[in-house]
Amino acid sequence: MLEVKNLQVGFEEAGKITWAVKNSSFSVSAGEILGIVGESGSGKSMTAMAIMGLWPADAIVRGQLYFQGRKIDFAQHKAWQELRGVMMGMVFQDPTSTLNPLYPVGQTVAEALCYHKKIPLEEAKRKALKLFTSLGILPAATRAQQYPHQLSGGLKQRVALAAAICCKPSLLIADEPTTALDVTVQAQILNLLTAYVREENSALLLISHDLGVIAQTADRVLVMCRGVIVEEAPVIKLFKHPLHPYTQLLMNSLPRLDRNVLHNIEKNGTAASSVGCVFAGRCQYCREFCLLEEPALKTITENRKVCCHFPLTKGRSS
Amino acid sequence: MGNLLEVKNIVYTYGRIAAVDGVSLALGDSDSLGLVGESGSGKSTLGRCIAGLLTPQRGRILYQGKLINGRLHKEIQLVFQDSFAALNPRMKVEALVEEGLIIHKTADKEKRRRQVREMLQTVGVDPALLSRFPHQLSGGQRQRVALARTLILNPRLIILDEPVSSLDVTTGMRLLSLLQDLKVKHNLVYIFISHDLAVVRQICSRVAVMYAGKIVEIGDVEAVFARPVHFYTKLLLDAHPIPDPEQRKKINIRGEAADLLSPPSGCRFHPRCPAADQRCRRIPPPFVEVTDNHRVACHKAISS
Amino acid sequence: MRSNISLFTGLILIAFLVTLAILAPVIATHDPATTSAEKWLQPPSSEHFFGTDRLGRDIFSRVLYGARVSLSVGMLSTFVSLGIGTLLGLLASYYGGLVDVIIMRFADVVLVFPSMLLAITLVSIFEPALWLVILVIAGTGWPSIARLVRSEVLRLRQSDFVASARLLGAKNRRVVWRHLLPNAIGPVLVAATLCVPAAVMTEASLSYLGLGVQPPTPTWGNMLRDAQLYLRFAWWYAFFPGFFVFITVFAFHLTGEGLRQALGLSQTARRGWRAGS
Repeated sequence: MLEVKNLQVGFEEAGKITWAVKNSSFSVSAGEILGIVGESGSGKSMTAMAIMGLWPADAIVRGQLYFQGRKIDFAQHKAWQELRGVMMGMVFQDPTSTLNPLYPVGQTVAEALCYHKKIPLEEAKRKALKLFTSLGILPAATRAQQYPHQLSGGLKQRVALAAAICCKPSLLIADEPTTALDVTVQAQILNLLTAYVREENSALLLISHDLGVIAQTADRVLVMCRGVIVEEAPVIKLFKHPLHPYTQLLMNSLPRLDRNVLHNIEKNGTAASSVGCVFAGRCQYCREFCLLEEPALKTITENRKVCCHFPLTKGRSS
Repeated sequence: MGNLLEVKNIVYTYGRIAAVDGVSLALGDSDSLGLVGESGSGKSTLGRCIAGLLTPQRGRILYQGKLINGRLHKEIQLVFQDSFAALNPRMKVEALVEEGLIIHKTADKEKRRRQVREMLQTVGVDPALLSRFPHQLSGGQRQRVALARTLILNPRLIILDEPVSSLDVTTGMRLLSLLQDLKVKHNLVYIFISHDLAVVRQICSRVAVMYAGKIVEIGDVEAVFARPVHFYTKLLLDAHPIPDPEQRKKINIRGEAADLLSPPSGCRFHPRCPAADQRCRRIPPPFVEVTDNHRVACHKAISS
Repeated sequence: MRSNISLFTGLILIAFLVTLAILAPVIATHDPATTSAEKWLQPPSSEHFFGTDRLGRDIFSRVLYGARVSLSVGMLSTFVSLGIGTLLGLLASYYGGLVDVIIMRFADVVLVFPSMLLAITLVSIFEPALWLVILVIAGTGWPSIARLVRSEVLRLRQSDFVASARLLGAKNRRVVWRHLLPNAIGPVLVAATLCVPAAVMTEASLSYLGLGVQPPTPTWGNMLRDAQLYLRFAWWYAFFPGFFVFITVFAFHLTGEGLRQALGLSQTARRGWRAGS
């Protein structure tokens, strides 16, 4: 479905380029939910922005992108305009930024349909209402007449989702879609996203900082740290047996409902070094070699890749 | 047992909206109370009432037996969710931490400087950052500076309003770990406001669950998490995403959070409750003790 | 980067103009008031850089002396309206209620009053003079500053850092001086910078109408007024004073714009997400 090769996103400042995303390659296939997890500054949002063609004006983007076998040129913004909305749908953390505050939400969705699908407005309105009903924006007819500010955060995100999927895109990109929402609403939105992917056999790129959300939703996971994909694995294997110390750190630092985990929190994070492994400064297993040489993302077993000189073994991770 | 803080039936309304609607709770000398609930549940408003930033229209807040409604108290401090907004952008770290000492004229310049340095060490901020402005710090460092700013006055009760929710997991957990150490070292009592049950689980001994301006369940953390009684508590626990892909939950969540402009009659949770009946729709449930220290506002809790 | 360039250029230009004004007696090649019957309306030459006017006075020297009047009127009146505006804005926003209503309605009245009409009225009562011009400009300029200060303070008063200071026990005085003013002053300074060119323009207009500073004191405004009859055959007569008015307005606008961008940049850490964790 989507293949990203050697993606680089950087910013130039005073003649020096700092890379927010360093040489990332990955792919998503139809019917698959690919989770990208990482902390702030890991480059996960930048990766999504690059795929959607929505990077900031001063960013430098390099690499190859293949969408359904077709190569997309990063220099041509027009190519994206055709893809966005029709073939690719997007859901962001803040739904208010995607919904025009001056239009009733029903009209926003109907017009998107009308524009992309070239169908008459009346038909588009009918379809939008049907979509609202299926997404639980009830009562659909009343809600469609309302403006974004009249809706709760959860409903707004549902409308944003409706706008994103109204043309049945084959790739859906969701960037922290539930971060601003309450847990009960979060569960509802994640259910809707999953249902869409399963019904339409489309692909979903789910970006989140929350390992819980990823564990509950994703099929396969990319773990990113400071612009680098440090681990890639099917979700069950990843959680059962993380190979990268960073993945392990993330899992160990996750607050849990069933037990207190504060005792195994490292007290002080150390500064990151500029050469060698991106995680070296914070890694408890760091050796001298890690500070000198940058590891490459290598395949360990089928479907499993890790970017570490000394990946964790089963004994060490438990 | 002597209560450090007692909140008796307080009501705080913004215009026609009762954000806190008849809340009572008591806090012992070494408690740390987690205040959980979704947005609009009134947990932050309650926190600000206790801190004295807001004056409740009704009810009483007693600190060490003395009425403190709407009054600020040196021993009660609050740490804000957004450390960026809570630190004056035009003041440097040193001035920010020192401010409390200057206001209370507790020491001369030399002594203040020493105290500021010690306090930064205590909260794990490199003294090299003394002359930085807040925007030059990372989120974790900012929250630590905000903490140092309140700790320098030796408070007894600290209200922490979502202190880690805007931080990365690893940074947030390190801060929680620090908070736990400080609690023991400085004999602090926390009111920890959070929407995240798992975070509350890490640091609190007691937890109060709020829904639509009311406390629906309060008890020891372990008891409430292991045997939740109120259906809303159960829902919150169920909806929490477990970081284990082999335990995927398919949960059905009904409805939206209650509209505070016209709150539902009877039990405010009844439109979303799977067990609601006629009585729940009509009569607000009383707050009853199910076991020691574990109280719930639910009709079903009494009958079962 | 761009903002630094405009701020830098603006400040350099202002410094240049101020230097010219201060050093006018040194730089001037002629006495600005000395008339000459033979040399009237001469085009620019090596002797008279900017030519001469209808009375044979050296325009270059007159422009330099005119800068003294224009710049001092611009800066002094801005200074006065900044003072009045900040004080009244603070009072209105901090005390609120009736104080706020009285101050702000008064500001509204002053704001809708056409300053030119006020100037004409006042001048017809008193003698036209420099201090009167400054007073009129300052007296009509402060409401915009007061409004800005008021809205900034109202916004900041709600902020968490003010609540945080109160929790530590800070009293009103500390909150105002340490927390509200330092944060409100940025946008106010920008507005003040933009007040200066407006004041320079107003002074020029008043002098042009003959209501400002009176001859023989040269000002850019009264020079322009003198020049209007000779526009067609002595371009230099109006061009040089006009050009300096333009440069002054331009310099202050550049500075204001640069200041605005510089302050905006320092406050919101743009692209903060790139900083990493």
